Amino acid sequence: MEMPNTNYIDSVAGGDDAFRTKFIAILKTEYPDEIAHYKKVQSAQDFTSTASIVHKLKHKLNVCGMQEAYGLAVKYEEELKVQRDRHHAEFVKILDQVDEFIKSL
Amino acid sequence: MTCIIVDDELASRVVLEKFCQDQPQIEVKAMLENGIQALKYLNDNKVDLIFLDLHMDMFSGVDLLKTLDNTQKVILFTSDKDFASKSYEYENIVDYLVKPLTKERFEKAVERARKQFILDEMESPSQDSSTTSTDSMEQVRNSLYINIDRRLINLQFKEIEYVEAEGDYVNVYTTTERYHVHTSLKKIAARLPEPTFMQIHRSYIINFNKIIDIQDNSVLIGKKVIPISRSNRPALMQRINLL
Repeated sequence: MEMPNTNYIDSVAGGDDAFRTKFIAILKTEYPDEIAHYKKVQSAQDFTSTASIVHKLKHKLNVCGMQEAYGLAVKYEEELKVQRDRHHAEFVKILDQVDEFIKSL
Repeated sequence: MTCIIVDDELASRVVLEKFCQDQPQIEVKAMLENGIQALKYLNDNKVDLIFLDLHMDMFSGVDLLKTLDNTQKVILFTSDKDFASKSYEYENIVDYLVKPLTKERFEKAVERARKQFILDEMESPSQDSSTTSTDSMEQVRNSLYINIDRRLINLQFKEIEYVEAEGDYVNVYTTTERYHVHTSLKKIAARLPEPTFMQIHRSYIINFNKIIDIQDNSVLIGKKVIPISRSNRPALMQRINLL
């Protein structure tokens, strides 16, 4: 099973601890808000808004080293554009997994 | 090169800012959250390079691209891997980066922008409007956007009769409307092309092509009599003599 990691964050920081701390703090703020927004628009069956927030979330998944999850998000976003959300349950599991990871940083 | 960063995700903005800080030839002038903020900024300021996210909820990167002229180079970035081919429809795009951004790829893009910038500098400075390929681009180039109650309104230069200072605002008069805009006369003057527009008084800029009549100390535009200040009078007279 794919596990989130800080490889990308470490690579961008390049040993700059202040930047690393700042970046993680931003993730801790932005990510929960984006998950909350996702859950809200998804439960309202607002496919356009759901596709839009999945687009943003897929970047966060990439930042946390979740390449396979990113691939799923790409497919999911495309399907949402034609009003299909069959990947929702799987996607939420990934979101929660990454949420736990970011909280632990 | 001066630049701005436009992205609605703070996490992306700070990564780009960090990469830019490591590049001595780049100066980040502003970090903006959406296309409207960027447009407002660009109405008052000129930059060489724009780092632009395509996917933004309010006034997207594509919307902003349509308003830009070729003097501002753009490096696009997005999570969409399949936009690359479309992106080259816009002449000012020099590169296209896929998120998450890596420093190596970023540096290549900046180098590409720098080379393009140098090439443009070497070319004729009077090249501007002659390279326009579409009517819409031409329209954008001959206009400016003003922000009225969070609504961006496009004003063609040829529609503007004169601009009047009023405290922290200016009034932009067209043949049919008056627009009350929160900006200074100096800032709007920088956006209006010479020699069509000319400041003839500390409170007035006029469209030279709209003058109906000139008397000793005033010009008539529409039904408005606009004073000519003593200091601006020689330049106005010189302009008339040139015609």
